[in-house]
Amino acid sequence: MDLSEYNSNNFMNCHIDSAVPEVCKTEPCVLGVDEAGRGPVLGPMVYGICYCPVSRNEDLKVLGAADSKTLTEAQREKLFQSIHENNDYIGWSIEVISPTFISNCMYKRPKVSLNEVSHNSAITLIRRAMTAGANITQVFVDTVGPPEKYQAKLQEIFPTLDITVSKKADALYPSQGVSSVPGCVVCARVARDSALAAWQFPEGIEGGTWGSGYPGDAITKNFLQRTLDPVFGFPSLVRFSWSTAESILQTKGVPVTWAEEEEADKEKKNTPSVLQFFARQAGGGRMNGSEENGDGGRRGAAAAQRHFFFSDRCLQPLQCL
Amino acid sequence: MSSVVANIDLSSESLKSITSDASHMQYIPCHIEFDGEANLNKYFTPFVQKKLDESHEKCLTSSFRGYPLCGKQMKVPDNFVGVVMKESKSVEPENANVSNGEASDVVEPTIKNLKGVCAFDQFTYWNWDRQPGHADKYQQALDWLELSLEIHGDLPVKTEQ
Repeated sequence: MDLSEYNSNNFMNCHIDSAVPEVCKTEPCVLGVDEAGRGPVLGPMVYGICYCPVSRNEDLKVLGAADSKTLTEAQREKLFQSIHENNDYIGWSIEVISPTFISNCMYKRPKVSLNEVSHNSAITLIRRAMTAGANITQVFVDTVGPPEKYQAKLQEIFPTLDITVSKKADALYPSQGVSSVPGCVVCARVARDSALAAWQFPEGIEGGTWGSGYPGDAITKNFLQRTLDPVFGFPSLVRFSWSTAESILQTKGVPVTWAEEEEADKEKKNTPSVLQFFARQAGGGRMNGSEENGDGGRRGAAAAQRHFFFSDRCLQPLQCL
Repeated sequence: MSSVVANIDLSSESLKSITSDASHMQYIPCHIEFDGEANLNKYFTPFVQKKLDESHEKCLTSSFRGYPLCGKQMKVPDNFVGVVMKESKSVEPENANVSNGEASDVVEPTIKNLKGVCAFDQFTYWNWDRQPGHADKYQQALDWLELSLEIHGDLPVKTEQ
């Protein structure tokens, strides 16, 4: 798989597609969607689709695509090669979603969740295949989030397609002869492995080893500690929004506060306690908002306040000596 | 809030040349509690991308600690120059009248010693996931420049018709 386009700009997303086999343009096709690299704190997440004519689905099974998650990296490579060699009836398409893109989405205002990123990628991939001429009629998807909601969402976007969303589709369906989902996992995983193996740090650093890339891996944690810059944090290989990364950054990085997060914290502190409304006034009597009692003595003599023109614009007076 | 009094030293020779490269100066939408070197060329500049926004204006995108940034190159207002100040240790105020349990009405001002170290007339302004625009506090703060001229500047000479 040629990932040179992604490798040269690995902080941005990248689509890679096979050509649409001629037979897929005419015959009804079944399409599977799956992903690789959702859980790790390092590297891209890859979404992949794989499709072939419904009539040729058994052939895909023979290739050995079933139960692809237990394969070794070498076995997956070999399997992808077979898929590639059979490009007269098998088509595939992937999106490499960069770690920077994932972090940016989760730190957007408002936040775009990883589930939403996943959904959007799958939807785009299906659309691309159809736009390129593939005659997709059936889709099998492993769920992201609640399966019923996801199925309804996809069915609304693709009303002409027969869509099945379930948990662990690739283990569930081989008996029914649908192996296109395992095929797409192979494509996705091969892409992720390849992208990681070829990773060039735009920061110009030597990363060293990073283990499996999963938050629980000690080698991965060591990589995070080792490559941390106190101001900028981690290199762009890292998903900043992962709690493992966040906590290391908080402990070892210089403190950085973002205005909206600060305001949210301040609001929590400034919200008056309900008990305040039941407190006795300084001059006796209960809080009843009557005119004689004024504002109930909650505030002392108001300090001279600057006009809100200045506070709105974060302007403070400065006297020069 | 206590008032701030500053000693500002703008005598340095380094202020005589004004940096016009906007990529050297970044106005970022967060508060970094740190003074010191930051390797922009390594960790920031490689990720700055040029884009066209919805109204087809040139804008920039980047990322800081995973936070998406939208930016624009800006000039310092006309007839002004930007100065980077370095602060040396400020004198902390002493709070009076603490012994009798009452807060003092008069709070001693904080004294800051600021020295200008470099001058610039262009910089890159960054917002957190929002296009830079007139609603930004920075842009609104510039209103004061015009207003202060009206309030404190010389009266225009009126000529009777």
